Amino acid sequence: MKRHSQFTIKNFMIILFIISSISMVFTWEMRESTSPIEQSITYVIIPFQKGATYFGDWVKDRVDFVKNINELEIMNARLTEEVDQLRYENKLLELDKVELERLRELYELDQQYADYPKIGARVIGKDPGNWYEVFIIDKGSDEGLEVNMIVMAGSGLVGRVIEVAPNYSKVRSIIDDTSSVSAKIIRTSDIATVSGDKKLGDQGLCLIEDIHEDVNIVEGDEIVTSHLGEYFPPGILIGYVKRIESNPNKLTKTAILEPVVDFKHLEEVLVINLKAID
Amino acid sequence: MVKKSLTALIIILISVLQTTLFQHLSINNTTPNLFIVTIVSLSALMGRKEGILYAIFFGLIQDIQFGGVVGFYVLIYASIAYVAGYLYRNYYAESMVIPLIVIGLSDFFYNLVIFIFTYLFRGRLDLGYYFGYIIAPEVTYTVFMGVIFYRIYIVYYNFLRNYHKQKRKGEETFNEGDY
Repeated sequence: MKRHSQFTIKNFMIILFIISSISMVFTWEMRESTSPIEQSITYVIIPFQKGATYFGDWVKDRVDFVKNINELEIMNARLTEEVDQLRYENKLLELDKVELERLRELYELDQQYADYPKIGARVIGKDPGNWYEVFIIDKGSDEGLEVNMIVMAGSGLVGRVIEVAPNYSKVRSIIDDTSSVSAKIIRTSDIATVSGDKKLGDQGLCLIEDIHEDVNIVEGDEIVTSHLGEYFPPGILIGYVKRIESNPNKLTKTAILEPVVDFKHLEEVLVINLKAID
Repeated sequence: MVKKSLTALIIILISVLQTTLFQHLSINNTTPNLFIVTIVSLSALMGRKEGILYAIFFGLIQDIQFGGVVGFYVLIYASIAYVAGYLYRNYYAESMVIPLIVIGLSDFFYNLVIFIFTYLFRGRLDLGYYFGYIIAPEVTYTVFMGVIFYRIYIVYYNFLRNYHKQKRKGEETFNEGDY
């Protein structure tokens, strides 16, 4: 009896191995839309994840409140001081702003993406492992999301939608190790590639590769998406150059990019519908 | 029936905890892997069949929601469950050292397979960095979580055993290995 039952489990493992291998081969390049079987599983899990995320955020707010109450007094004194200083600076900036507006009109440099139609979404789950920066958001094809739509937070690029289901979608962020985005250095109009890197991704940074040797890039340069990108429209802010690294044995430079988006505390994102613009 | 609903509850609870709450509890970007803790604990306590059942569901959830292909994580988790099943009835369930060692080794194996198939094949060769900064912290944190969760699973295991003992007294139809 015991021998018999062990025999079947061994067989079962072999069958499982074969089925998994076949399904891996068949799903290799076809993960853009989810099949009904996949959807049935996620229909069970997604509502729980949504609930847990809302509840978790609520609890976190409460915990943070209690945790910070001691620091608040010190902070208050410091902030009052800062407010005075900022008021003064604000006056100066207001003057600059008037000048800026005038110059913008002059150059017609209005931000291109300010009026793209946007859909707000909430991050409800993250990859269980520590290897990838893939997360899921609580809006899906029911709200009109499609694969390859771009995802932003605040004014910066987060990533793109790689898979949609009726009630959720999967987003690959730009700091993921497998992601790469064609980018432009705004000051010099040179093209480079912003790619994710696991090492830097842990600190919320990315790598800028393929910068031509002659390009005069400096720290603080603004990096936006380029006109050559396959998925991303031109002119979306990605981040600023943090550090430049020269590699003498190559013909290109690399640099470290600090994204404008805070990937460690990403809670709400905006999905941009490019179809509506065309 | 009680067992089936408890199994479903554990699967849903653990997968939701893993993808939501535990992402907030991550220390220095390291999240413990509760799936491995659950699979190894239950496979060791209740047998290989039980472990593989959990492995298939957890693997499918991870594959479908976050993976690139369907079947990759199912295979890793099922192999872990199969190996952990060797412990079944071969050690004292109350001693924690052996299952914790197996949890640690399983998590190491899991990360190593992911590294080989998804990083090494793309030319990322820096094993030292990945070992020191991703694999080792995750193994440590997972074993730590194992200390807590293994105790919970022992309670669950004892509850099922007592439940079936009582049922057997009433009906005399219970056969061994059915729980």
